[in-house]
Amino acid sequence: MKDLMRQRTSIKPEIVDILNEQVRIEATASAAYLAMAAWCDQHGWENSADHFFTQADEERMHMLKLFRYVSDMGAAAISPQVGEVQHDFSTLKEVFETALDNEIHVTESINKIVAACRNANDFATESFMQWYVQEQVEEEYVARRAVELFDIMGDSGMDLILIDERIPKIVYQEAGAGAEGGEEA
Amino acid sequence: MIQLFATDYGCTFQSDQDRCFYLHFQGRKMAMSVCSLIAFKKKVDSIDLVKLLTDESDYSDVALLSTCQREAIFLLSIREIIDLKELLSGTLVMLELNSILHQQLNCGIS
Repeated sequence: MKDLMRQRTSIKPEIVDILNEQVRIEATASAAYLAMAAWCDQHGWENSADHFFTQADEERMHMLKLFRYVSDMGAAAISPQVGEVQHDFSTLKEVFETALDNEIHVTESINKIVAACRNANDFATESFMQWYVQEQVEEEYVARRAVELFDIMGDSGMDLILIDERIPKIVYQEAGAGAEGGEEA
Repeated sequence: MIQLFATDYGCTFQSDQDRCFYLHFQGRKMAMSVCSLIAFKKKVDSIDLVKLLTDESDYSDVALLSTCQREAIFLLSIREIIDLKELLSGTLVMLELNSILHQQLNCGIS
């Protein structure tokens, strides 16, 4: 009896399910960042708004990359239904704290996928997911640094203006990149 | 054709020649690809039996279900839903077992 299952798709159904769930999580994250960008724009925090618009694009790119992978492996990629996301925030600090919480949630979800791949001996998907592991290091770094700005500078009127100006300058420099002769942009 | 799994109400087969599976249910025979079979199983699994059993409306004890390419539509009673869930789960387990056997034979059983 031929192994039709393996001939048609190179990933197991349980891995397809968690990848499709990750597609949904990334899509939700993108929508959540859009809502944050809109809130920042409405309240005059232009740099923060730009930051979240960029983040929304990145999350969508993450989603598409996963979606294409599932599809390329011969499995059924599911276009996600995005539920309600938070549109109202009380302060700019709350926006960035929510962004950090979202990134931590995404990281935990990716870690679970890597663990599941190891359990299923799916080394190709594990290798594919390593890009996401590295990406989350950067995403969490940027989100955490932004929240730390509020701890360092405070959250009164002038402090917030300075924080908004500093948001675009938060750049993750990979450990060891400087030692290899790379220069910070 | 090789039988994969059978229950009280139906059975599934694999045809190596046609490179597809056949689902026999409610007196009908449907050809399904791997993707169609998995997608159909997802639909069947998503039927909430507790909700159906506790619903007091006139349509509470049946569910309408189409196959992946909408080639067929099933009107299922609760007993048939339970049976179909078992049939498709059993089929997927047999296919998984077949994959494991192929993997072991290809790599050499240690």
